[in-house]
Amino acid sequence: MTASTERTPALEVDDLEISFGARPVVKGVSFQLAPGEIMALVGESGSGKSLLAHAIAGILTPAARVSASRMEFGGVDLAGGSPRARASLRGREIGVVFQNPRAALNPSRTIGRQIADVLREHRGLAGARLTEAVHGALADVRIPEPEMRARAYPGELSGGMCQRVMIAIALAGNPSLLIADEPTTGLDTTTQAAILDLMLGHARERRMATLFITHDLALARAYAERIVVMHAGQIVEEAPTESLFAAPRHPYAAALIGATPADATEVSDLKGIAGSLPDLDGVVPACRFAGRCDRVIARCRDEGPQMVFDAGRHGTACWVPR
Amino acid sequence: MSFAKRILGKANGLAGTVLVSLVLAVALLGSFYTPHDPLKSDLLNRFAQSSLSHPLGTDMFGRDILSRLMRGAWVSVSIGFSTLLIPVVLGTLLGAAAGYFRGWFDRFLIVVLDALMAFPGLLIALGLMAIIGPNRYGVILALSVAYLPAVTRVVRGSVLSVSQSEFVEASTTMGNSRFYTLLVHVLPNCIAPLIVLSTMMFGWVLLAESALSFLGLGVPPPEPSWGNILAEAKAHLMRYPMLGLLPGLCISVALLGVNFLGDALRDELDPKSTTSKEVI
Repeated sequence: MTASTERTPALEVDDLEISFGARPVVKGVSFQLAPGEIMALVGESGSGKSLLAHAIAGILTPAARVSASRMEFGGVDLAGGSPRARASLRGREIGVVFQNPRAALNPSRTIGRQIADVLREHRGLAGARLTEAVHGALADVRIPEPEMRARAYPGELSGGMCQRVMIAIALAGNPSLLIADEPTTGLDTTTQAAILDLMLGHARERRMATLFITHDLALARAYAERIVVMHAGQIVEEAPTESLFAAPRHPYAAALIGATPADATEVSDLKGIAGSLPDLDGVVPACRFAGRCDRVIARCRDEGPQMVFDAGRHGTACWVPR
Repeated sequence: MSFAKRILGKANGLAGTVLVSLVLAVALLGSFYTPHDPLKSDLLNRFAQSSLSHPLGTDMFGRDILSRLMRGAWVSVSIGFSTLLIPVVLGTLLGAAAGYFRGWFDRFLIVVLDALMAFPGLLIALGLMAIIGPNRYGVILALSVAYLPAVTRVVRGSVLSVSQSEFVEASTTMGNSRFYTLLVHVLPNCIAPLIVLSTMMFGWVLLAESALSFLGLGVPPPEPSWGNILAEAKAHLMRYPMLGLLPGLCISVALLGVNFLGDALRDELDPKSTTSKEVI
């Protein structure tokens, strides 16, 4: 797993900042994603996970300003770069699976046509070969009776089925980067596992770099090779999965893991994390976790800690790591 | 159950469909066949009672009323459809451009539309007719201008809300251009309110055309339209009420049908009222 250092990263983000007006919401975010690597991005709601994903996919609202000293995917600059070059990546090189599959599908088009749209655009298929490819794509995501389902509208399918369709669409262009933004939120637990097995199975098989966004640490642990922990728009810890769960260094990462139910936990054993995300309109401490941290020192409020990596590629941004 | 079946399964949908079909059938028939020449007067046979050769009698010039109503249906309905076409096409283009691309064009268009909407539609049409002069193309043009703001606003509103949907965002991530997204993903999802509005508008246009003709600003006589048949009956209404009742009844029936159908369509197409129909 540590061998990924030697590989050229598929996605490289350095010092990314996303701001709305004068408020930098996501700040100083840097990470690399190697081809074939599955990286989970975890953090509570509002920590900027989805913003980050949208910035990479290039679908932020125009109100957001993105700046980065480097944000590259396969040699294309995602922050600066020409809109045309970035647009050519979408669908073909970058596939996105959304949070709410039913809303992410056009309700007035059959799912077959929606998959066909992508296949026609990115693989240049037509006629009988296109139809065949659509059925193949549906079968690939284990949708039974693809010939019949292809004629269904999204409203006629369950959430899990819609997410399978969404995955088929994301995979149709055979991308080398897959962004999954909380792909199983709103699905029941058994469907969750089936969808993730399916999606990440395809990702491994095709050696796609995958950014898997979730707030469910258990899922991150089960599926990801590396985990990035975000808090209030900053990355606080980045580590190989086992290393993070064995010895979390940032107090927020430790608290998150402490708040996760393990096999035989009583509800009373679960520890909540005190406080809430800082109000970005007010005075924001340099380390945005300072206000909730039990290890806080004076320095935390004035000077933001930098990510420091050890030999095992376990990095943390904290002045008083454990 | 298919869409048509669901519409026909409702009382108002069924009644609306039957009435509208009846009106359309009579109009179509009237376009090429009437029992008598609707313009031919027979001064020896004025105000005739109903008879075998004149089932609905004759008017003050001895013209066959049934023939005039049939030809009038064609004139009124064809004006109605033509008038529908211009605002729907133009309004969809303008509304889609404004709602999807926003910016200065949107702001400018909204100001103009708001200014236009400050006047009642019929008043604008009346003013325009006074300038253009009474003829059927004038009626079409004037009513088109009068109803353009309504269509544009409805389309702009739906485009605005559909543009915020996740599937429009998703379309961007699939690498589709903005224009393609508008055409394939946004507009088809804006059609439902447009269909309902068009149906209702057909009724309004029918009524407005009658009103204009009644005021002498619509289709010029002797060519019959439901409005000017009613207008001509005005002078003889006390002695021969049937002259006014018959065209009035035609207008009412057509309007009733269109409104029933519009209501049924709205109930069926309104996303808030549709029940989910999961098959899996």
